[in-house]
Amino acid sequence: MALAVTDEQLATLRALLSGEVEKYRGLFDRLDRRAAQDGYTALIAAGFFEAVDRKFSTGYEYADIIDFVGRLRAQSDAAAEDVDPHAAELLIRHSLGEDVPVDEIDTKTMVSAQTRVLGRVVQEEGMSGAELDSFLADVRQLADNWLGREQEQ
Amino acid sequence: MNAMDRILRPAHDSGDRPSGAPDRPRTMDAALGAPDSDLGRRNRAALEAAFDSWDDSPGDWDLPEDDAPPADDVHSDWPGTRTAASERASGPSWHDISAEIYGPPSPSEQPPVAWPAAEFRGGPGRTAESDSDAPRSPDPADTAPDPAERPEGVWSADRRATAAAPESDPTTLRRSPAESPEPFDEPDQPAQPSSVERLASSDDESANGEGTRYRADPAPSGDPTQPGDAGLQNISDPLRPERPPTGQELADMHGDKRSRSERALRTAFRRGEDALDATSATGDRMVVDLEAPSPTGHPETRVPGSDPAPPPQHGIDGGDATSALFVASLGTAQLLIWGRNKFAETIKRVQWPWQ
Repeated sequence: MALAVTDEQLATLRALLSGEVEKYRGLFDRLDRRAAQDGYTALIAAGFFEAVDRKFSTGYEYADIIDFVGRLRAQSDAAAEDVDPHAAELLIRHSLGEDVPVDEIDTKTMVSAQTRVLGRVVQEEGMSGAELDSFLADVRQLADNWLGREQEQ
Repeated sequence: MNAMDRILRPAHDSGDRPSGAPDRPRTMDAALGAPDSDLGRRNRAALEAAFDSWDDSPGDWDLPEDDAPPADDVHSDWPGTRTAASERASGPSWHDISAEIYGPPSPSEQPPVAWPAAEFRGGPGRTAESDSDAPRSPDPADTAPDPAERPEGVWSADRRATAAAPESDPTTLRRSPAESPEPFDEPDQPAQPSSVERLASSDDESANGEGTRYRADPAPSGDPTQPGDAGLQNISDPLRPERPPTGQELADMHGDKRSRSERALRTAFRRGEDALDATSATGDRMVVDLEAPSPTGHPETRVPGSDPAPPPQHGIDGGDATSALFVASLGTAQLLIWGRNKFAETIKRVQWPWQ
């Protein structure tokens, strides 16, 4: 069976990023967990990559990344618990092409930081509905690409 | 003999007249006009005023005395000092050089009578009259031969023609070496890099994130009133914003993103049950944060009046109570002592009659 992102997974992520609590929870509960272990996690990782690329690829300094993570963690107590600042900064720098070690970051810390960074970038960019759809289309394309390459290996 | 006399005297007196050059008196008369004509008198008066107002201070030419370029330098046509100007003035005129290079001018290209006023354009003796009366120099594009055939020294004539061009015509000054068919022949100076070369070198610097990219722009921002090369060398404005990326750069950017994506796929993509659980837990908390409306606030309403707040009303604190109890205890004790003594004395008085 070919691995690919489903429409339900994409709708779930869209509900998450647009802050629709009930819709998100309902959609997430209805997800096929088996398929979501690949597709939805791929969406989160690809969304993080695209979000960081949009946010920082035009030019950045370390202070920008530190400042961004600081703002992210200051959003709420839950955000401060979810985001390990060192891990988040390493992940962002790694995504921007820097040779920093991210292999030793555990899965929970990495996925939590990726999810939070993705949500924060979308929030700061102030994307409209159409812009969010366009962004998610790119994310889905990248996630499908990743899943396809994973399946080839 | 002052500089004015040196300029106006016959060139053959100095013995440095180049062979084949026309006689100085004829040249000067043709240039300044007949001495008894109105134009000749006016041009001579302007020239004398120029030298009278010239005090030899370095600020006159913005060049120190020691910076006077050597006489054999092709750039030395602009005077750095009065001495240099006088020496050059006693040498062959522009027309002499032009005649040597291009041959004798045709009747239609005969220089105007007030040509020397343009010779001093931008100099210390520049006056409004000399500017307004100065005729336009012939367009070098019309008179100059093919640039490939230009001998050394045409550069000087071109620059003089550029300096004498009207300031209202900036296109004359927007020529850059990159626009010329080939660089000017200046063996003693390195060739001015073209705009493309400058961009290429600045791109190398920008690789470290510290360089400043210049935008290729055929229109220079140099001061057209500046003498010499200053007006021609500033062909790029360093304050221009970055130019848009080229197609190759866009391709490189996409290649860079592709390689970064490959790395992210290998090392920053976790999947499986643990990843989904973490995503679920984080998502549940994050969606609440995203949903929570940011405080919108209310419009501030100021209450009129500026009465100060009343002083705070303090209760009885511990220190005051302790002090009060202490004083009360002392008073009570003294009262008891006094009462006991009184009682004892009374008892004694009562008992006394029976003793």
